[in-house]
Amino acid sequence: MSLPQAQQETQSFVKQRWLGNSRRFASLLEGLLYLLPSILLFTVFLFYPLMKTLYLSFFYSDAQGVPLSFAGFDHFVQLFSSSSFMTSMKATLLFVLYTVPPGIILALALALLANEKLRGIGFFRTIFSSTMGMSVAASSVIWMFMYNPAIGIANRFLTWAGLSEIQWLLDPGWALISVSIATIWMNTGFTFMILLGGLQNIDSQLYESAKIAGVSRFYSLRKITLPMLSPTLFFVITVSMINAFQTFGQIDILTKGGPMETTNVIVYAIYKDAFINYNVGSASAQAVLLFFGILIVTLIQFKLGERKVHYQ
Amino acid sequence: MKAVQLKDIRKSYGQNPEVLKGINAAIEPGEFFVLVGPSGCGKSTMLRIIAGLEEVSEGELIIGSETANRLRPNERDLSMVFQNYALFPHLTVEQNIMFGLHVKKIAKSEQIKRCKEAAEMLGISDYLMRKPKELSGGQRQRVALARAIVTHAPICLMDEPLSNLDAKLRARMRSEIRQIQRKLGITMIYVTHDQTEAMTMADRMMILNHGEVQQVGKPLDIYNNPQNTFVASFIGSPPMNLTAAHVNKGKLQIANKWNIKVDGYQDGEVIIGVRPEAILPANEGLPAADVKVANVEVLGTETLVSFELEGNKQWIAKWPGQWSAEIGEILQVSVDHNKIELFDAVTGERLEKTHSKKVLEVVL
Repeated sequence: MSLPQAQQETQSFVKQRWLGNSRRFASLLEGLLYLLPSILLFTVFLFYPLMKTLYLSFFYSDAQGVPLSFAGFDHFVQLFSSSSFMTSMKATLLFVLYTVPPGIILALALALLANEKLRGIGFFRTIFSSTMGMSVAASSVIWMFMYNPAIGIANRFLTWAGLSEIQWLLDPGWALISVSIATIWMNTGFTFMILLGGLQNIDSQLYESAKIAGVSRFYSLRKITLPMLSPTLFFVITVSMINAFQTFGQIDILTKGGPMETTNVIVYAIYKDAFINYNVGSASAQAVLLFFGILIVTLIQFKLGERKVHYQ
Repeated sequence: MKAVQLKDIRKSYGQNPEVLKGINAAIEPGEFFVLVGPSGCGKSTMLRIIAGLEEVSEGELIIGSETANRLRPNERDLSMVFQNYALFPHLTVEQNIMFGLHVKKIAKSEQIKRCKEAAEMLGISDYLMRKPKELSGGQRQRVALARAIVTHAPICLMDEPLSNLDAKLRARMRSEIRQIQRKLGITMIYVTHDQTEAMTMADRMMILNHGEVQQVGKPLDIYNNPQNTFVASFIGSPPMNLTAAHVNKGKLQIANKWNIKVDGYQDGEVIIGVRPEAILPANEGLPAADVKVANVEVLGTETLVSFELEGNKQWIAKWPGQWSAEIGEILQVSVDHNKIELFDAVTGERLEKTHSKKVLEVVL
C-alpha cells in the first residue's frame, strides 16, 4: 500500500467515524425534541419545586420563604424530637391503615358484584363508580353535613338503631375514623373502576374451564380471579397508598387537623407550618421526609410485589 | 363411554331470532363427531349447550341415559378443550393439568400419576414445571389436551382447538388427537369451521348453517351425496362448481356450451353441481367443450385449472399431475356424467333421480 493511499483510507475512516458520531448525536437531539414538552412541564412543576424544597429544608427562612441562613440538618433533628411531628406521623400512618385496606376490599367486593352478568348491572356499575366524578371539596361538605351532631343523618341512624350518638368530628377517638370513612367513600369510585376493568380483562374461558372442572366459586376466586387480578390490585394498592399519604382536602374541610391534632396528617401539618406558622424551613423538611417515606414504601411494595404479581 | 342425544334443541337470546332452530342428533358412544359450519352458524353454541355453559331454550339434551338440560357443567361428566386453551397463566403446566381434580375426590398420588401419564402421552413431560407463557402454541395445545385427558371423562368437547396453530402443526395435531381419541375410546364432539379437519377426523359429521342442520353423515357419504347446494359448496376443496342450468325435454343445458341428456328429471330450472375432479381433460374418449383458461395453479401432485364458463362465472377443474396450460388458452374439457349432481333452483335441495341407471349422457 502506498503512503498516499493509506493516508486517504485513514482520512475516509476518520470521516466515517465522524459521520457516525454526528448521526448518533442528531438522533439523540431528535429524541430529546420529542420529549421536550414533557421535560418542560416536569421541570417547571416537578423538578424545580422538588429541588427548591430540598434546598429550603436546609435553611432558616423568613416569613416570605426567603432563605436567611444555612441550617444544615437542624430542621430534621428538631422534627424527630418534636412530639407534634410524631403525632402527625402516627395520624398519617393510621389514616393509611384505615383507608387503604378497607377501601380496596370494599371496592373489590363491589367490583366482583358488578362483574356478574345480570340484567340492569350497568346501573350499579354507574352508581358504584359515581364518586369518582365528585370533587373532594364537594364530597367533604356532604360528609360534614352527615356528621353534624345536631342535624346529621349519621347520628340519626345511630339513635334509630338504638345506639348512643357520636361526636363524629369532635371526639378525638372518632375524628380520624370519621375522616377515613369519608375518604374511603370518595376513593371507592376510582378503585372500583380500575378493579372492574381488571376483572373484565380476565378471559371468561378460564372461568368456564373451572366450571367444567367443578371447583367452588370461592376456589376460583382464590385460584383464578385474585392471581389474574394481581397486576391491577398492585397498581391500585400503590396509587391508593400514595394518595392516602398525600391527603389534604378532606382534612382541611372536615377537621382542620383537630381535635387535639388527631387528624393532623403530614400534608396538613406541612400546610400549617408553611402557610400559617410561616416556618418554611421546617415545612420543607417535612415535605422531604414525606417524599422519601413514599419512595421507600413504594420501593418495598415493588420488591414484595414482584413475587406475588403475575403479568400475563 | 357415553352417548349424547339432542332432541329438537333450540336456543335464542331474549327477543332475538333463534340461534339454533331445532337440532336433532344422536352421537354414539366412542364416536368422533364433528360439528362443522361457517362462523356464526351456531356450532359453538351447540357445543356450549352440551357442556352446560349455555342453557337450552327448548328441547331435550340427553347425556348417557339421563336428561341433562338442568345439570351443572361438572355434573355432566365431560371435559372440554377451549379455542384459546384457557390455561391459567400463573400456574405451572403440572398445576394446570391437575387443576380441579381435587373436586373429583381423586387422591393426590393418583392425580400425579394421571398427570404423568397424560404428559407422557402428549410428549410434554419435560415442561411440567414451566409456565404456559414459556411454551409454544403447539405445546400449550398439548397441555390443554392433557388437562382434558386426566379427568378420565367419557365425553370430550373441543371448540376449534387447532385454529390458533400454523398449517403444518395443525395437520400433525389432527392425527394426534384422532389417535388419542381412538386409544382412549372416548366420545369426542369436535367443533371446527375447517372442512378439511371435519373430513379427515370425523367418524360422522354434522353440517350446520344458520342454526339448522344441513346434513349428518359419514364424511365420504356427505362428500359424494351432498344434500343441498350449501353442503356441496362447503365440503370439498376447491368447492364443487355450481351453476344454474335448465332441463328441457330430457336435456340439461349448461351455459350454452353443454347439452346433457338427462332422464328422470322434470323440465325447469336447476342448479348443477360438478366436483373439480369430475371435470376431465378431453382426451379420455368423452365428448368435449371448448373453454378459455383463466388461471392455473400447479400444486405438484395436482393442477387446479380455472376456466370461464360464461361471463364471469368460473369453474375449477382438478387434474392429477402437472399441467402447463397458458392463461387464455382454449382447452377442451368434458364432464364425468356419473358425477353430476342436480339441485332444485329454488330450494337448493338435492334432486333425486327417479329411475334409470344410466341417466346422464353427454351429447354435444
